[in-house]
Amino acid sequence: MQPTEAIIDRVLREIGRLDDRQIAATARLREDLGFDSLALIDVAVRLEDALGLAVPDEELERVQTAGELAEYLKRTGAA
Amino acid sequence: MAHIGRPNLRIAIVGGGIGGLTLALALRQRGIEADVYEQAPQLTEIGAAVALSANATRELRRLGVLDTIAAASTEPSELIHRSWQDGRRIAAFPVHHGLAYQNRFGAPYFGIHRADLQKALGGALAGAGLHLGHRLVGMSEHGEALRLDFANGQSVEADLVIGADGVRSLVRRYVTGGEDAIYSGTSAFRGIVPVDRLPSLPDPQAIQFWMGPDAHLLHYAIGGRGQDVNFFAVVEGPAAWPHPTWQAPVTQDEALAAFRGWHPAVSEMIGAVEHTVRWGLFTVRPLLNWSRGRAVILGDAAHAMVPHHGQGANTTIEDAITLAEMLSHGSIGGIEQLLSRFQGLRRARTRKIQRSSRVTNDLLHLPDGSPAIADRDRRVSRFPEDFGWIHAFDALASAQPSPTVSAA
Repeated sequence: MQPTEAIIDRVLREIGRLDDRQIAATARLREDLGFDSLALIDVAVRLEDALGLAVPDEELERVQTAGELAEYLKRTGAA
Repeated sequence: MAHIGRPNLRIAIVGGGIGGLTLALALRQRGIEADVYEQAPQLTEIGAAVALSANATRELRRLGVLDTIAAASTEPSELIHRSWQDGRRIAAFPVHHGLAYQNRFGAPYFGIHRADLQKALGGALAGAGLHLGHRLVGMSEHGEALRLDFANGQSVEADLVIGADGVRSLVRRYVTGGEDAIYSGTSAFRGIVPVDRLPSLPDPQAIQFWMGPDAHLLHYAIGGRGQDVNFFAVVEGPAAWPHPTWQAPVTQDEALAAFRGWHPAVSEMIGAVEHTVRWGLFTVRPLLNWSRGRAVILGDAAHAMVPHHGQGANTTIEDAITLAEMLSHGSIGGIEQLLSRFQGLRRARTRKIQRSSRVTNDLLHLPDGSPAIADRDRRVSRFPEDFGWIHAFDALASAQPSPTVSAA
């Protein structure tokens, strides 16, 4: 797994309490993984702290899947 | 390096508003001295009233000022959401009735004039370390310390600078390199009206949202006997805000026109005040960093929000208590690490409330016939379930250095 994907995987597992679940890049954050808008802010803040990159609200509302989140972070400078 | 708790750690708080005074008071309660620098020549809060919810009143009780505050406050009878034209009650929940709110959240909900709140906080501080007439104009690093320059020609050095200087914070500019406040695209008319001048108003002791097309009006009673009604009437627009401050001149006709056709209680309330200004509503984009070196920001400087959850002052009080409590535990790893842990405790929670307040604006401003009305009515009927997390929060508990830190 790439570093950014690994960080996303860890943050999603911790915030979403998804310990035993496989998180595919195509997993939908809301429908498949059960994140609501407040839990997604926890995800965003944890990713920001880990990567030093901003994840603004409008991006958070736009991204649908774990893979799209990784794409956004890489586009803005994550490894 | 200076250590927290030692008398030689110089703490400078910029801003003598609710955040700065609460912080100074909370620090003093913990045996830590601080200096507060306020630009105004006197402590005179501008604006009107503020609603204090349990997440703040439980802290004000711990600071020993809640009784003073209670004497100038009114606890709303109910929380009511109404439709703009026919005044239909869409949802209602008891607040003071049956002490429902206190029983649920462990502390009261108060409407109070900002000046009375400031008087209670400032009175408890009794002038200790308060420097009026000090408008910050410059900040610079000076060895390990920070130097503050004021418009009155004075300068001080501090080991820790806390910017509680509001939505147009100068300390934020130092911390972020120039992050500006953002105009929300909405503005407000506000006023305070004696309750006996509002004969059309149903439930004058309640906190009520009147929801209508492109606008809403919020009001609640203040004063020790609920004798005055504070209102805050928010409209969409103007599209841009070219004015140098958050106030812009307005005519009485403009204010009246914005609520023409609304329920008589609403037009009566708007018309009871001579409107000369409208207030632009500003926010701050959620920031990655609240601190730079030994300077940190809190309150509106860090997370200004639109006021639709009435949480601007309350989250500021949470910030102040959290920081004071962390400072009282000492600087394990140094001040910069402490400030980093502070924002770690506060960033997610304040961003959630910022977002929730912003989303609420749209919910309150639906036109008749909108397909979203049914969803709105369902949501305002779930108010305690959906927003209990805001009110139940215990900032002091969250700041304890135990592994059982409560989540935002």
